[in-house]
Amino acid sequence: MRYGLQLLVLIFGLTLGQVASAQAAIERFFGDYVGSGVAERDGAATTQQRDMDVSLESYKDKGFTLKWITVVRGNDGERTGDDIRRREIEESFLPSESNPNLFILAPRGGLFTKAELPNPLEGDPMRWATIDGDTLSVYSLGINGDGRSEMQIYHRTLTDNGMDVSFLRLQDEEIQLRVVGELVKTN
Amino acid sequence: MLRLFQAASLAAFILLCPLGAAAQDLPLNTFFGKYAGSGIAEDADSLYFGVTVRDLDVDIGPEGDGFYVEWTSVIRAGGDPSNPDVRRRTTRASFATSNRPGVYLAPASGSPIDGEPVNWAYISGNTLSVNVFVIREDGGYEVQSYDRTLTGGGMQLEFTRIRDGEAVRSVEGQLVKTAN
Repeated sequence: MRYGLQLLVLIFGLTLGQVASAQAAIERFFGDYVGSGVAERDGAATTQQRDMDVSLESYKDKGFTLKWITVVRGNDGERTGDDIRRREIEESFLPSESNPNLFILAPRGGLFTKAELPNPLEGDPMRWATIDGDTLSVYSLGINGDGRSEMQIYHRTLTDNGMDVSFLRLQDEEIQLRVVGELVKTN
Repeated sequence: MLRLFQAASLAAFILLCPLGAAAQDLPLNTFFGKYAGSGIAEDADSLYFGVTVRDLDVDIGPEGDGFYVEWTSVIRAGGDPSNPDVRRRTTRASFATSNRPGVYLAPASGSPIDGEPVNWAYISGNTLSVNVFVIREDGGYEVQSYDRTLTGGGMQLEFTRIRDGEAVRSVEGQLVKTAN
């Protein structure tokens, strides 16, 4: 009985340690970043200019919220005009309970809902994140109705001035879009 | 005689199928059969160490409401060039129909967070594509894709292993049909 209790305390302690370690790893990325990048489509002769804002902050004291805004400039490369496009995304991630190297997309709503990876084979994109040194990587796998897959990979690497961004979109393992950018930390 | 007729019909379908009709997916049972051939594997070190040749066997057949695919690779590399080391590996996977027409799923074996693979297959035109996706322990991912395309005489294989968006290994092979 006593050994069982000790084992329980040990497991609880290890879990708390893993969460603290994941939190320490992500805290270095917290802040606001602005900059621009260049997008290259597979087979396209021209590139596209993009403005990018990235913001990272704590989520529930153990995970993180990632917000990013991408503005695709018009054909003339300017920030004005009818053909500019703006995309804004905000999502939160919580540490995985079974793999200390993973953060999983936090469920929307439901105070006590557990963070679990959705099944991409049921049409839900599966999103997760991991940290390797100075690089925070966010992955998204989607499988569409006819079985074809789309993978998106965002690498965000801390630099002396802010952050380097690298994005890949693959369709059935073929690279369709590649974006690289440099951002400076503003806050 | 019937087998000969089936083979001739399939060959005629594939050869006569115009490019515009490539969107029509072959029915699953046209892929059933045994195939044998060879392929060439390349990876990042191939520039320095050369490619490796491997013998390939593929067996595809019905199972439940879906199919199984069993493939064997025999790799001859390393050791004495006149008597190279031989490695043989056989893998079998089963797929059942899903609620998406033309998409087949392997029975769920666990959570991808715990490193369990996500396996699915689909038919696109003359190609049966089998995919194995896994999240690695370090949080990165790997996907293995086996595209098996029916040709007039058998099957063309294209295998790619992608790790974090980069191709780390590919195999291209040609196989002939040896049995239905």
